[in-house]
Amino acid sequence: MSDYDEAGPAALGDLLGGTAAREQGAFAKLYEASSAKLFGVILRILRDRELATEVLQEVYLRIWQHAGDYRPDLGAPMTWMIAIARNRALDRRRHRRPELPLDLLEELEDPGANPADSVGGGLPLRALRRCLDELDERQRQSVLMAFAEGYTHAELADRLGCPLGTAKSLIRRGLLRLKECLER
Amino acid sequence: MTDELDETEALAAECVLGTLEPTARAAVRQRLRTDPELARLVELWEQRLGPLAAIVPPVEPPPAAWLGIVQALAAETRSAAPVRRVRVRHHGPLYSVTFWRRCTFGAGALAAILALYLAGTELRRPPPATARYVAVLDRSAATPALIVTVDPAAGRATIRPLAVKAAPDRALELWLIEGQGRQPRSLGLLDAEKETTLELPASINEAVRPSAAFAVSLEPRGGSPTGQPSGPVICQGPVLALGK
Repeated sequence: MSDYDEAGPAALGDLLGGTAAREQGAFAKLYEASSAKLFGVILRILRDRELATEVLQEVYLRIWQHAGDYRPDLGAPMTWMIAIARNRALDRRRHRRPELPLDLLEELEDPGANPADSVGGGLPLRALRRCLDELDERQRQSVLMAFAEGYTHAELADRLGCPLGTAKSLIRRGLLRLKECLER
Repeated sequence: MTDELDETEALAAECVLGTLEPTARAAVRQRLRTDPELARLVELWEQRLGPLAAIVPPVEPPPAAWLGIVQALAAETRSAAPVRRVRVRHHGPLYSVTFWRRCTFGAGALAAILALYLAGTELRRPPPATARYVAVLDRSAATPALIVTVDPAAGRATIRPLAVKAAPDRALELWLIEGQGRQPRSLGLLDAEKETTLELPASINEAVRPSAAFAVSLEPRGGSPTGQPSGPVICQGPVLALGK
């Protein structure tokens, strides 16, 4: 882990700014500070190291090309980079991934399991965690599985043993409640 | 409080969450280009859900990932420079002017960024007493094929294959190219599957410096029969100094 993890959004913002100005040193430091997080996110969705490595490369080339598009009103720098990484990973996702062992799910359900990680690049997790707590069990599970593991509606339905339509509305209700809670 | 998200917002949220099936997802991603309201909603949901990534444990990517990025950036720099394809007599690719320009353009960027990376990782170990050299050999733009590291103090080159293949009846031969008009010199044969260490004769060891380049050619089994590259060059890259 590099020093930049503790430095948080301001330092990452500076590095993104440097990257936008075509400073290779800033870009290298940005990579060092953020690549383990992004690789973790991508790998979790794709479950294939080789493919995840390829996607990681695409993601950083995109960050290099589009760093100038980042604006603070798009969220923390890490949130912006994670959105790019997740988008790429989800676009490249293949179907029928191996079934998840249950303990992984439990680990996911406790966002406080790794406190050091919640600082990772200054991700503002606190409000989200409070709102996740307001969801019912199945909604929370589904949202977390979808976000972290890249489950589609059909895969969630399979996993939860319910019809597709049920899984869809479960997710939509969960998302609505999250939004309402976050806006309070 | 409403009972449900309106359809556009639900699509935005599902797209960010990742639950849409591939066709539906592709349709939303397509629509994003022309629908600013949808794009705004997607941005909002990215901000809402993004922090969830904190629950996913970080994983160190393989070093080859960064090398690939550096290579692609160097290629970008190279292609931005005007390259005129001039072939010098009939000597094969190692003598083409384009080859030398390709080696030159981007080498600065590559050196800077590679050195920074190594400074951040490998050099945390006690630094070796003398300078080392490294060359990242690529086939084309984004894919590094192999990495050559030279330790001049030990007179040894280590070659790590990343993405390189040879047909069973062919051999990979590594060459040092000191400059235009100089004959390439063979360092030996490589294994496409695993790391190869080659002992360097003093004359070659001394010639490895940043003005030189490495190239790998495809040769008959046992190596080039002529002592000069006889088959196609499959990857190449300039020598970079790593400092201390």
